[in-house]
Amino acid sequence: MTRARNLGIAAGALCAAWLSAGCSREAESFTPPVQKAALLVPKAGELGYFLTMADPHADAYIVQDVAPSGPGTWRWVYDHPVLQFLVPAVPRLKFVMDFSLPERTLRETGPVTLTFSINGRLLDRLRCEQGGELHYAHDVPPDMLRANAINRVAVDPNPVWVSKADGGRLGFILSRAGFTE
Amino acid sequence: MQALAIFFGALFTCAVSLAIGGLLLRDACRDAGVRFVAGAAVLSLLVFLLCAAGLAYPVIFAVAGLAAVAIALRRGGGWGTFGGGIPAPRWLWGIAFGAFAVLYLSNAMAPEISPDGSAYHLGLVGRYLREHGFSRPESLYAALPGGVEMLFLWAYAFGRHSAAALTHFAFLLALAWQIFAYARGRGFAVAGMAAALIVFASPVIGIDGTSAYNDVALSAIGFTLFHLLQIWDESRDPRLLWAIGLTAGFAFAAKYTAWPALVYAVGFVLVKQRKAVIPVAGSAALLAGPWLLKNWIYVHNPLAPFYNQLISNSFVTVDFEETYRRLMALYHLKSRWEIPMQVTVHGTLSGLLGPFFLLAPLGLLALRKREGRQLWLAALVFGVNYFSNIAARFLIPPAPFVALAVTIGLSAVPHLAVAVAMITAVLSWPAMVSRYADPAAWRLARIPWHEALRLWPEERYLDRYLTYYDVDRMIEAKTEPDATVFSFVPVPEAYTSRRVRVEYQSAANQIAGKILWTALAPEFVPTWRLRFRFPEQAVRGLRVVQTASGGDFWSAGEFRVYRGDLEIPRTPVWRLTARPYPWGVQDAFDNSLATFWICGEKLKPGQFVQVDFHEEAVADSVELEAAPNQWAGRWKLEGLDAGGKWRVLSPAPVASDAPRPLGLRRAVTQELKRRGIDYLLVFDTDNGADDLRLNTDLWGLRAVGSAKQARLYRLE
Repeated sequence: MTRARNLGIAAGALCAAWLSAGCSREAESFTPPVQKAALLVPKAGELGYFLTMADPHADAYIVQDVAPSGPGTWRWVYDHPVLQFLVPAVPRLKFVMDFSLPERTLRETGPVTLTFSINGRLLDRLRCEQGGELHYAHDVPPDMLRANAINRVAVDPNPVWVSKADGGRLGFILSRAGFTE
Repeated sequence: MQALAIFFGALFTCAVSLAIGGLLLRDACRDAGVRFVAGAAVLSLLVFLLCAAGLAYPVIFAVAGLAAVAIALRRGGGWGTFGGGIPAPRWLWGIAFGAFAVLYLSNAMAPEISPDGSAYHLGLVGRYLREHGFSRPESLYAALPGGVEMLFLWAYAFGRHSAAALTHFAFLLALAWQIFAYARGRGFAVAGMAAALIVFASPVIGIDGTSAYNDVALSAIGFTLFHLLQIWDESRDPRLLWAIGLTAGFAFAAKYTAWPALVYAVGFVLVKQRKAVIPVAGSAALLAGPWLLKNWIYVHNPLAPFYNQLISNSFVTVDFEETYRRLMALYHLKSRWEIPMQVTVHGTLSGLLGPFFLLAPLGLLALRKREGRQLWLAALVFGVNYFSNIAARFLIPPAPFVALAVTIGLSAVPHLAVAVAMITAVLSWPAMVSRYADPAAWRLARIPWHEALRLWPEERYLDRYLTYYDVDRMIEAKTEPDATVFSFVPVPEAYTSRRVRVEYQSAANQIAGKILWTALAPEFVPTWRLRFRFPEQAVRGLRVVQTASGGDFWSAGEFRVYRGDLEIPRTPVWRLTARPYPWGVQDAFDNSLATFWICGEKLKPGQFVQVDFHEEAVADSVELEAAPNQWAGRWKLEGLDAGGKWRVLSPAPVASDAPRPLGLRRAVTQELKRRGIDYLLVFDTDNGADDLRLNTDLWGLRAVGSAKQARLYRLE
């Protein structure tokens, strides 16, 4: 009996030791690994390939005809908005834009056509018949872009909404625009 | 020729098991069913040891098996007793058993098409044979105990897939025989015959027992243990004790859910004869222990893939286990009250036992007899874990005990048990089952004799009945022999020699899947920036601590420390850690937005990612670069001061968005390659399948093949 009990205790202790080896909740620690090549992301405050109106440095991307301020995440653009981007050497890019056409202005203007030009060359035309939040994406032929240089993008709305009260002219609401893969 | 190889593989496995069983039990038990199962336990251990030693070669199996048979024959052990004592009406029993035997034999011999058998039971077996032993598990299924799969491996070495299924069928025969043999020995021959037929004919037992699964084998092991205990209780032959322990250990080695078998065996002998515990517990440990040890060595969790909260490890995340357990506990049901009809009649929980089992409460009538009480105790032992996985096949282990209790209960009325058994057999025939079961219920449907004897090509049958067999063919044709393929969808790994890493099957695979989504799903793109600012000061360490609770998760792409506008370079003296899941913390400090640390558990206050500088560093901000798919998380920054105390430096970060990084797709591809993946198998229904198809150049992929529903890409 004693022998059996001792064997039982030994087996129990072995099991406990075994399980406790795996049960430890003490966090393991490691050294920093080999650093990998960083991906292309513009640094905050510098001109890059993508504009969000929430960016405090958004003005750096604006060349003309964009409202000087907005509520934070969007701004109105006017007749001939032009943006500029520093475009890196990347094999295949799309121009994308998140924008809105308010139902109220669209009711008065009718369908709006947006004409996209890059560095003075026509990229595309988009006819918008419905309002609301919209997303635009279009492949950009590589020869339209200057790699590692500033590229200008014009997005001309036609027609624009004209205020009967003060004659103010509004194109569309811009949230984000730029180049992506 | 192939049919002969199949027969040989299965018969050789059975012969070796019977021979070992005969050597083990000698005259203590001459029942062939008991000897087969007890011998199979030892054979399973032998194959495990050969796999552990990297010696899983057919020639070694052949020599060892022939030696076992030769020794058994020389010692005159024989093959044990089988048959005899069949009660009247024999012709009726013969027709009933014979019809199902033909159905089962043809299906067991036909090419293996069962979901789990073709996906992982035989996928693993094939891998063990190709690699001549075990390797570090890449799938949670490889961490489950594989006691029965060890026998499949032995059979597979000679007859491939169908030999393994046929070996499983031998367990079904051993089970049915023992139900009868046990009952006959206690004066219930008719009830035993009826229960044996009811179990034998059960639709889910039929399809499981003729596939490369292990539920019927476990059921046979369970009944053998019960049978051995009853025999020992009557004879007290000490030779039986080793067989009892080995069989109890074999039950655990077959499936974790059978752990109560260990308690049952030890408890039973403890009550009857205390000294008998040592051989029982010792021999049970001999069978069960190696599987725990294997997991401990490979994945640092003896009970992998479970109990990850208790035994933390990098192999399986706590969250996955919770999700898995939740899913297995209810499947698609709205309530557990649906279970009785589903597992007996409808069959949408992986098959049906048959309507007979709705009569289970009648088995309580048998409680008046000692045998009935013993049967119900065993049913409880082998059914107690059922609610951890409510699939019908998880009721196969207790089913024989219940069936026999019912038929003993019905024995009070002459011929009633026979009539019920015959009605059950009729209702269990495939043509009848299709009249009342759900059309999608897992069950046998035909007698594929031509395919069983390989008179018709195996390929045609597999192409028709095995989902994604064409995908396997594509993988075999388009990849190198040592290639590793990543997929979100499991494929029949039994029919490809390539390593297939399925997303959900381990933490490493889940992380690889999330890395892929980093460039596919907008919410996974690391565009979120969380900036913690604090007065410039010297600190010895910094950590971002999560403070919220909830069902969400969090992750960190990069953890950067700044002084002014300059990032403080990471140095080798830094020590990084995280809680939970510390093993991935380096991915938050590798300068790559394609990788990230994952929490692996739902949000709980106190989870953190930490850097210890091991010296003082002057800093004034920390930025976490992360994906925006973690809205529920709340964070604060703590600093380690010179006194070794953590103090809050910033109670909350300022969040902002950065543009999507350029080159992210290619970085993801490179990272997956770094993690050992050579090919992506993408099904048309996978999220992002179109992006991969349309942007192969941006991903750095090359399309190398396509099947009906999937495409294969090589990572360049």
